[in-house]
Amino acid sequence: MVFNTGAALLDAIVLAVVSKERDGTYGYKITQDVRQVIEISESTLYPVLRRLQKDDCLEVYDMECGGRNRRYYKVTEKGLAQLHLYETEWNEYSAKISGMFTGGNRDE
Amino acid sequence: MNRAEFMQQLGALLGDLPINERTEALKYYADYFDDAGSENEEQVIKELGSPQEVAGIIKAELNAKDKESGEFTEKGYKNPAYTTTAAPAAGQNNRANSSYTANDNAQSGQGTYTPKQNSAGKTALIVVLCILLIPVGIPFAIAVVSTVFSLIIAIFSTIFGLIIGCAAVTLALFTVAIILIIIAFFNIAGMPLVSLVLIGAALLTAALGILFMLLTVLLCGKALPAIFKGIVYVCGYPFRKKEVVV
Repeated sequence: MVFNTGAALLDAIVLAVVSKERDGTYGYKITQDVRQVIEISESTLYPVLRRLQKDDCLEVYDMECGGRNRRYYKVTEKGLAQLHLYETEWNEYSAKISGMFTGGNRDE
Repeated sequence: MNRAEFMQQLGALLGDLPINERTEALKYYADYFDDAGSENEEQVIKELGSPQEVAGIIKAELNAKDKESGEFTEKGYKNPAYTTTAAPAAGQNNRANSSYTANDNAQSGQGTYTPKQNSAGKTALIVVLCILLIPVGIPFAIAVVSTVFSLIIAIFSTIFGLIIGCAAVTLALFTVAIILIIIAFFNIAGMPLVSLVLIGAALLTAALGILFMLLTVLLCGKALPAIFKGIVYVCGYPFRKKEVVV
């Protein structure tokens, strides 16, 4: 991909991915889901999750799974609010860019 | 590299982080390996990159967090290169592309830069420690050097003494043998039996003398070159030592 994914966009994508699972989801699955939409190295995601957790946008809990404790991530109230903010910003931003790209043909 | 080695190296590399940050990161990657399944272990390690890279990314993020708290808001879009060149005019694809790669470099650079700062700090600390240790270290070094020096000299003198001793014994034995033979020759007419005994004794003494002579030659041949080499080495030692200290 030629476009750089900034920290805010990455945060937004991660929040969106995690918020899809009502009961929370885990690191490996989040990575796989995020990688479906953007190219990202597997090692980039942990710092993002950790930061979102520190900012109270994500909460973590351990749940038994297959004989071991797996760490789950879940979006908090604050995280949801943040995600809505991102969505609004993104819609506005991407609409402007798209409008710029297609404007010459459509708006005439 | 396998999972155990990866985790062990990562743990070591994160050693200077607060304990909760470290356990948190290790827990995440342990989970990650578990969830990927042991059959994908190799693949995961390949995709994660080296433990150094992973640790670098984790630390870069932690440091960035300390420095700018505003990162959470709009960092992706406030990037000037991105918004000014890529968005408006048409036909800017190349520039958008180049700004992307430049950006990428800057980001990966950030990952390696912060650990470097750490190691620079460590180097500075070591230098300060060295300076503080000079008042103790130099006398200590001098004591050690002089002890070693005198020990070596003692060994050399012992060997030297041994050589001189051997030479003296050889000389004495030959002298005795010659004197005995002279006495024997002077008395051969008067007391032939005694003279024969004396000649025998002289020959025995001479044999012993030859033995000691051989020992002396051996000592000179083997030990003397070694001693000279050793002396040269010891004389050079304080200079080399000084270079290291200063």
